[in-house]
Amino acid sequence: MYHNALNLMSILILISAFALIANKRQNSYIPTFRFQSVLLAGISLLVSVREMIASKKFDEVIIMFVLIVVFKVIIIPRYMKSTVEKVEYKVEKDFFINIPLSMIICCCLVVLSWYVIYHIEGITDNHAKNYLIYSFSVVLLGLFFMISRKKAIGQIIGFLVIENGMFLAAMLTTEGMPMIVELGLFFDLLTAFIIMGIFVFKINNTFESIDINKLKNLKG
Amino acid sequence: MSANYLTTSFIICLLLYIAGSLSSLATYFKPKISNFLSNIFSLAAGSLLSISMIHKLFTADTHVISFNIDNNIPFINFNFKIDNLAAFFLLLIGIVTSIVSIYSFSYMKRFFTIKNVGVFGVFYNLFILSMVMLAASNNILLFLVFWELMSLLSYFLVIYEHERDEVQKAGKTYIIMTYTGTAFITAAFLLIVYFTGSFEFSAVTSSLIPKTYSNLIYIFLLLGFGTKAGIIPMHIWLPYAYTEAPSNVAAIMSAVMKKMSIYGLLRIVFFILHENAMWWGVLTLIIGTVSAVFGIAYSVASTTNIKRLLSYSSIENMGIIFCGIGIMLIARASGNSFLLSLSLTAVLLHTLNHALFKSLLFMGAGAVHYGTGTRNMEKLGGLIKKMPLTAVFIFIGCLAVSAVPPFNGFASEYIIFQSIINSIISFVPSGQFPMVILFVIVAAFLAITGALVVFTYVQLFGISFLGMPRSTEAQNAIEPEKPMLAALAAGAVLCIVPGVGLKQVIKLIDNVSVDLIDIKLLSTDWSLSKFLHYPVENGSLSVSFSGLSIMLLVFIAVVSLLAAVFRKRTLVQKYNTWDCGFTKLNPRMQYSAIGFSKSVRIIFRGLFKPNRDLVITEGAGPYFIKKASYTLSTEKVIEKYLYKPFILALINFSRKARYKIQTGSIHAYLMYFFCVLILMLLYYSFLAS
Repeated sequence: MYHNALNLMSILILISAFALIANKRQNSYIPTFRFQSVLLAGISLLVSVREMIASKKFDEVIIMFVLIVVFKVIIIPRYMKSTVEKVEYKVEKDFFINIPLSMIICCCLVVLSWYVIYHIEGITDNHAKNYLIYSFSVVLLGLFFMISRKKAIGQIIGFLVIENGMFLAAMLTTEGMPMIVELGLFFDLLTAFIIMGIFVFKINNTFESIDINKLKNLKG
Repeated sequence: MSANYLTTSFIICLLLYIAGSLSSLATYFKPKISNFLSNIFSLAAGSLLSISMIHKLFTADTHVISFNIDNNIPFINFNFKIDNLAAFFLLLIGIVTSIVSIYSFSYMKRFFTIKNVGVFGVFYNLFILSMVMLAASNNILLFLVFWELMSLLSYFLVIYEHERDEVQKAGKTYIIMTYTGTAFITAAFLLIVYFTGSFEFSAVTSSLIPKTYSNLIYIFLLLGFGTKAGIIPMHIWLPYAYTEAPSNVAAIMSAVMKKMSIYGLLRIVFFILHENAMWWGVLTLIIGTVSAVFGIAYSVASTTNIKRLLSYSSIENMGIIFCGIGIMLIARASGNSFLLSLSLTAVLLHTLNHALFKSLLFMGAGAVHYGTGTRNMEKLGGLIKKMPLTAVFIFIGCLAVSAVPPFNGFASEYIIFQSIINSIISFVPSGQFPMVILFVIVAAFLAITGALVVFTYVQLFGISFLGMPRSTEAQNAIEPEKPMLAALAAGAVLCIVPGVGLKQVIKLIDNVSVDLIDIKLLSTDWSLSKFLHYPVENGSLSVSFSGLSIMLLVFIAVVSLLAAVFRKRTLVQKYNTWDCGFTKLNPRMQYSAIGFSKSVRIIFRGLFKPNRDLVITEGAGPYFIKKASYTLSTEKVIEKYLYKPFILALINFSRKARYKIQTGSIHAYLMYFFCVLILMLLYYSFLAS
């Protein structure tokens, strides 16, 4: 039952990543990311509650749940939204590779991650194998998302999706990493996010657009 | 003197060099003291080194000095071993550096007020130290480390006068070429280590190296060591670096540092690659011959700068040494042990001789520069009256390098020719006519080389020392100070001693070659009339060096006697009428250096593509010239047709690659990450499945 639920939710996270790739406009990136973060929060809640019931002890993963809800579901999307509103906005094609082709490539990436994980020796737990495949696919999809989008918002979201994928992998295969590691990861994420947010404004000021393709002009 | 004692003296030498560098650094604010300390220490170390090595070579000939310092660094163990080959090269270092140190006492004076002499002392001592350690190291990795150190320190010495643009250019060329060479050597060594699995020189056996790879290793070694030795076409750094380096550095670099490449080549060829194909030798022989002929042709025809002339001449001498190595390899491949020992002796002897006379000549060039302030032959002339002692010593050097009998250069070139002739003799019966033809051609080219060498040094000595001074610098020339003269005198004496006492030198070299090939080119009967060799095989080899010297002396005496006799008949009469408008001789009536070497440029015009340009600045028409400037330039063929296209192609490629790979687009950079990630994943999963 427990594993079925986890399976379902991690597949949903993967699907949300697909949905992100399928998004045409940058306004819809943020709700999709929020949806993914909610799913991630749900998984961490599930893991921690089960752990607490089994060991009758306080489990640290619940803190992660709170942090995810606070940062990834509420603060980061809100901040992103205000950023998007402040910078220039034009409805135009935001991707290099068209959507149907992207979907096919993403399917290939999932197959690739399945192939890779399948060949790793020493993973005896079949559930863990599945979770790894999903989370690794999410990481690859996030990277692909970063490559295929022109605007800086796409890169930030892609980065956050990669982070979500790694979080997922860590959570599901280890039943929660040590608290200090998780916190470190979180701070890294936040710092990177803040820096990126600032840079989006800078890029916008300099180039009057957040199309990072224009950064090419910086090269001497 | 036991081997233990030799180890102690070797370690004392190392400590003395370190002391020299440190004390020179500590007193850098007092240039006089700093210079004195650095040179006194290197002099002491050099003489100690040469005495102990001579002793080792003459007496304890089979004993190997070996010591090992344990450490925890992987792959490197500080394993030093001085066998006779190493001892021979250490002897070379010891002798040359101690003479040059004497010379530096006064040579460095001109830098006292303008440069930091303390730093020079540090680099100077460490440079010698790195060469000593290089010759003594018994570990491939250690060898490489000291090789690099030697290259780097010599680079710092070359760019000592770095304010001048030419020096910087020379230094840049030098460091690029030397590192290219080192890259090849490293590749060869890595291949050796890969196949043998050992870093020791002595433990390595060649049977583990497949044949194709040993060919590859030899080519890499030839390229790498050839770059350091300045073999054509890898020579381009050499004329610049030697010209722009201070003369004492140029002397050490030319006399000793270059020889380290010969040492490395011999070390690998005899201790690791025990077998070789015939074509190794043929290739080396051809490269050596080309270097010899073109080196000396450049020397005579393309320059009027004394130091550049000498550096091209050292390319020629390295060419001769490489010829010897080529013959040696051919002999080894065809199993001719007499020829092997003869050519090995020639190689070692010429290495020694070149070190002695080329250091003398470079020091002499430095003395001329010191005394007149110029290195351009066109501005010199008549120096024999102003600097008589220097002139005598340089004259001895010129005679030695031109292979005139009583001096040392003759013996080695004679043995080289002898080994070529013997190779021809040994290849004729077996019907290998391509080899015979090759050797005949090589002999002809070496003969041309010999003639051109004489031409070059007649030019060098005649233009700069004889005649009348061509400029005020030459007029105001002064004889250098005593230490400098002492060093030149020592160099000159050392040019004569091995020539006259050739028997002892051959004996010394025999002790080295016994170590390597187990054969002695023993001179059983070294009398005035006969020269028998062992093992006696093909024909006889008979020349008596002392006999030749006596004959030469007699010849000179007869000629001067005849001259004296005829002189009486041609009385000098002074006329004023019909003097064709000239009232008295002036310096401009003499041959200029460019004019003197014109015939050679005409012969080699295909190579040099000389370009003459006469611009009349004053005067009416071509027949009433009052003032004109004549410029002559020769083309550096190899630089133009080999290096320039390569460099241009490289720059073009890099520029294009920069625009294509480093586009400035973040997406492209992310794409690289992505691709690498995917490829690595695929690679590992394929590996796992």
